[in-house]
Amino acid sequence: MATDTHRYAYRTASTLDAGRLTLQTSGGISGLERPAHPRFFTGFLPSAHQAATALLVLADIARTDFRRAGRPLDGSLRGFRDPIVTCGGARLRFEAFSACCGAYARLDVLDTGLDGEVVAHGTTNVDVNPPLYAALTRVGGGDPLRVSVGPDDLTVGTLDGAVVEKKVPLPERWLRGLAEVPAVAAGFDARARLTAAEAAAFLGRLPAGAPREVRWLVPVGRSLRSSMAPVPGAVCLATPGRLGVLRPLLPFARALQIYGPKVGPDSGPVASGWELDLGGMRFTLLLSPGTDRGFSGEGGLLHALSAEGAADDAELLAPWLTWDEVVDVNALADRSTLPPARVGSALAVLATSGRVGFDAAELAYFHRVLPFDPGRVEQLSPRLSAARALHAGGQVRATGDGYEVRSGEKTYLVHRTAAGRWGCTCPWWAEHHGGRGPCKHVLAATLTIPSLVDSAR
Amino acid sequence: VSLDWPDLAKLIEAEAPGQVADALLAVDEPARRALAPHLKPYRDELVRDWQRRGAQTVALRAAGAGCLPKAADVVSWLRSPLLAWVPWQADPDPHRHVRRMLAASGRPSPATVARGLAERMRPRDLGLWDLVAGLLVEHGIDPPDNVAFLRGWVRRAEADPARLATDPWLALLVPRLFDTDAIGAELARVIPALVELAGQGRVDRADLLAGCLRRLRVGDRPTAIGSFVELHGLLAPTLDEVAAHRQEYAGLLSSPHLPIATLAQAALQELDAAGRLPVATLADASRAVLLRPNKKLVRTQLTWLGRVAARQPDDTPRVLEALATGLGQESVDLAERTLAVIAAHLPRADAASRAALAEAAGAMTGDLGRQAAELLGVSALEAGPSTVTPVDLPVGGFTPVASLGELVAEVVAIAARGAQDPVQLERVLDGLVRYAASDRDGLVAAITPHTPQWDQPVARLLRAAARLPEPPPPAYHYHHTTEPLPVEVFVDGRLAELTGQLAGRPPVALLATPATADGYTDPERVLALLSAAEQHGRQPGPYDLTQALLRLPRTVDPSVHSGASGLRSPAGRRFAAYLDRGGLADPEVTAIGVRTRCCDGREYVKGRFRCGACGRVNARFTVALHAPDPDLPELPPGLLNLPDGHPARQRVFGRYWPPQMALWPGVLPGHREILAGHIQPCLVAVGDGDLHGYTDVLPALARCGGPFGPASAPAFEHTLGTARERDRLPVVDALTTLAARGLLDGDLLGGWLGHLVAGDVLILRRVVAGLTELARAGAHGAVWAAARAMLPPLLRLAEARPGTPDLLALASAAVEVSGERTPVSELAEVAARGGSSRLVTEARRLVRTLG
Repeated sequence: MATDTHRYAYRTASTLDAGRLTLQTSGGISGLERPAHPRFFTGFLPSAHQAATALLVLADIARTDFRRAGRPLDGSLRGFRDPIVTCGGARLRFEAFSACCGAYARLDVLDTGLDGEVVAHGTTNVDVNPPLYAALTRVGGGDPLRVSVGPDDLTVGTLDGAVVEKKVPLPERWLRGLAEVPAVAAGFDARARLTAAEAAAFLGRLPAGAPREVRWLVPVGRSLRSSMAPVPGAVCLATPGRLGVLRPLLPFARALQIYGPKVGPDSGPVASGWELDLGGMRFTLLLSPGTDRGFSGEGGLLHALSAEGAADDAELLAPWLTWDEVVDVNALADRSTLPPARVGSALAVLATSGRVGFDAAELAYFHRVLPFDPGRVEQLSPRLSAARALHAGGQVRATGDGYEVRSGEKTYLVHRTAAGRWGCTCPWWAEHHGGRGPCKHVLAATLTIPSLVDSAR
Repeated sequence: VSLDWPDLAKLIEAEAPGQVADALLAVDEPARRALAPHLKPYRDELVRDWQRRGAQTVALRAAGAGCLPKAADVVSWLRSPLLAWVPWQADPDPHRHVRRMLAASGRPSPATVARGLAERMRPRDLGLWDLVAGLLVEHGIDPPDNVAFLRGWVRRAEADPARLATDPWLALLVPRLFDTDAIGAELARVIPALVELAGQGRVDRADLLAGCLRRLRVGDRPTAIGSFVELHGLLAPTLDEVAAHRQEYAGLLSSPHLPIATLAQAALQELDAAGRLPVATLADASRAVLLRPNKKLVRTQLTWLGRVAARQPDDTPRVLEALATGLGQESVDLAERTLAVIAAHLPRADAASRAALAEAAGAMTGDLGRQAAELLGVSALEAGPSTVTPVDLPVGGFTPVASLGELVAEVVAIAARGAQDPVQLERVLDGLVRYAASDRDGLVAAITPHTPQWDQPVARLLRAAARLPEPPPPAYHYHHTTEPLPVEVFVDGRLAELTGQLAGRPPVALLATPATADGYTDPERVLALLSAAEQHGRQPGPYDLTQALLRLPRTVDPSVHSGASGLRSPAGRRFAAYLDRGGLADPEVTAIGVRTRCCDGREYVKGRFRCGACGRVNARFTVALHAPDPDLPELPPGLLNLPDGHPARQRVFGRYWPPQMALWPGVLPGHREILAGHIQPCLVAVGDGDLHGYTDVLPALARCGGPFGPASAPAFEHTLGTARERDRLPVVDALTTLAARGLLDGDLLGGWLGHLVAGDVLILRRVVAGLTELARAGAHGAVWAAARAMLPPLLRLAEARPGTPDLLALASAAVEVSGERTPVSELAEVAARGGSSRLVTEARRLVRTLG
């Protein structure tokens, strides 16, 4: 698996001094430009204690590897990816992605909670360092927290050219997982809403260990019951201990909203979304279907990507995205003159290349450009590349009721299943039965005969 | 003086590093470098002889340090995995010869070598730590930021904590102890030494405390956390220090580690006792604590809040607001205690705190809800009627494989994981038979690459379908130590029959292929296939016919009866006779107890079901059952007849590991009682022993047809006692399915449970956890019935089993919702006892609820 190194260059380290939080920025995009240190916001976040705790939980998730029994890898915060901040409309969104690629967290500071001046819109990385982490643990009280995202005017003048550098490994798996998250979230429906007390009781009941456990939570009245079988309306929770990272936020929570995709009796483990309503802020945690299963392999949008039209639409649409709170599909359709249905699938394609995120609470995409090398983010589908290679090599042959795909020494039968989907005879398909998107052989068949795309979904 | 390689090799072989160094130092640098090319081949020759290699390692290291031309070569030589292990050495400092060599003129710079070794240190290289550390100190180089190097430092300090006082790197490395994961587990002797040094001013006490609090907030493995908790205790922070870190302590109250939350609570309490804790911080802290599941922590917090409310009348309204959070506690006794504290201080409430309390009380139900409503003057929330949310779904039809490709995909899945899904297996069997009849060559070509090689009935069947010859029996035979059970014999018999047919003349279709996903055959299809077979002069396989009959629905349409009576072939006449008999009758079931001699040959003592010496269960309960003979010769003896006596003892004590039971419900889909009689003895050790897992078969058992009778109940009640929640949840799912179908008989379920708990076979807390989950699923009526049946034997015990108050609380909640108020005779006596123990409190609550 390819692992590159990403270099963060901050003008100086982020600090929390005299009640003022200065988050330093590195790279990304501001409006249409790409400055080295974008400046987005100066003003106040609601309730200092709550905001500080939310940022701490975000930092916790960024450096946790749940494959190692859910322990943070390193108390020093060294070697981990910094949170990503997006400023769109009157809203700040902080995103973090765990080291195991199986937990994604986002803190949305809503318009009602944000009080101050939005200097510019865009996406960037913000520095979180050990002294800042320690300083955040000392924040208390309900007064607003003074915060600026981006270097303030003083340091701009005095520290020209000097940078604080951080180099972290940036595995392809991590980047691909982060890009896949909006595709997963876009398939979510709201499943249950717990009061703060119910949420605390529910978290208290969950086992701390049990790394391989997958349970299904069925909303019953005001509470959730656990089951071992997927029931329609149930939410899948794999490795329940992972939810424990939300604990420090529980005292501030007003409610816990739970999201999940549609499931049926044959469903395997699926992802789940957990959103704490904190008043002027929302904290969302997305969990993958298992600790050994990051978001990177879910392949939910591969069909959309493999369809030629959608990719073209996406390129057509990209310049029309504006920095609003969320993407308004109808307005975008008007501007770009694409029909709204095609805008929807084009947005899904843009999501996998890291150019939009998805907010399940508002059922809407939001503009966000992952602040990494754009060239790398766009080429993130090895399965699709493999399928294209098979297709280009003429390895797909139509047979009576399906297709024969030759891959290396072996031949696989791509066939229609009784459930009406396309299946394959490769071991990967036998393992997942389409639960992680199509295999490369099905994709190769789809590329050969584009009319299969719709029926293959 | 000259030195040639054979001489040096002899010295290395003699395991004499000192002589190696002497000899190399006696020659000049070009002569040393000339020897370098021989070293690597010499080392590589030792690759298979680990003992010689180990014995010569120190000499080889000295030789490498003395010959290799560049610093990088020396570093990789010393780090070589082949030279990683050194046996015990009498010489306390064997590496001094390496240092001597590096100090020689012309050699690579020792500082460069040391830096290279230190920066690239891995756990495997810790044997070189002393050498590296010595060189670093000698050349005044700071240690690198490397976890393995730090671990080496900690290990030296653990071995001799006294040397920490003179350690040159103390100030540099101590902060890293708090920033490195898992290192806390190795600090047992370092921590007291550090605290002592802090007392002498050698280490900054403020740094120690801040680092410790930072690590406690970040979390770690439990063993590592233990060290930091100990460090905190030894540091004994002063009031000023606690006051300075007040907010960090408040943050620790959310820690998943109970010892951390406890120490934070104690520190904040001390601060409060000195009058230095703002009430706002106390309120924040209470919101973090009051909803935790840790009872002691919550009780302490409640007492503390009560104390503050009494001491600081002005702050009482803020305290009451914080207490409102506690009314949401899931544990009814803690919520009741919260209510008591609120009641004591309510007169000083202001409008805001009253509103917060009223809002929290408005969400409470049951007995406590009524108490809260009365106290706060709000209307109590009525526990609404509840329905059971089923965990199973309306069962669809059986969908056969749609194409050869899909059949191959299913074969690939079975070849990878074995036949664990009855529906999948039936789809494969059906598909193989259909494609063998229509396109045998295509089938053979498609599945041949995927046939498994293992020696199991399913694998043999797939090989026969692919026309592959049976491989010769393996030279080594695995001997089964346990007799196969009757259901296994039947399943394997059916697979073996089809294997023979596929190798010879395959059938046209299988009679036993189910028509529904829950495994029933369609009587009309069976009739049609039998008629067709009769016309074409074919005979179906006897196992196939028997399985088809066992899978018939419990009621068969009369038109099939009349159609069957016209059949003349032997198979047709058996079908007709089976239908005339009314199918398979439900069995007669007797509950039985079985004893065994335990470890020391002691016999069972009346009323005690566990051995007094080893603690293992020596008396278990199962059933004997007998179903009338349906005249099906292929049925293995014992499938419909589970006798009492020695066979019963064999069933429950004869084997430890349960068999693979996933396919069993598909054998008798309409006869839960018979299946339960076979499955329950296999799962007893899951409920009362140390066996984990295997309960996944129970939801399928619950979905089978037929009554929920005296044979079914023990299968579900015994497994409720399993230790792990993930094994118990399938049992609860099964009970929920039964409850949703209106079949769950709570009296039957609870009848034995009470005696099993009273006899110490099952642990009550686990059973109550299962019943609580069942109540959460909405089966309140069944839970109350089960609790009512369990309570008499439990309340009669001289010493109440742990968990009895929880059972009473659960019963109160279930009565509240189900509205069934049947009195329990033993309850009044317990409720009338004096005192305020939880048992008596909860008994009184149940009496109140029953009205």
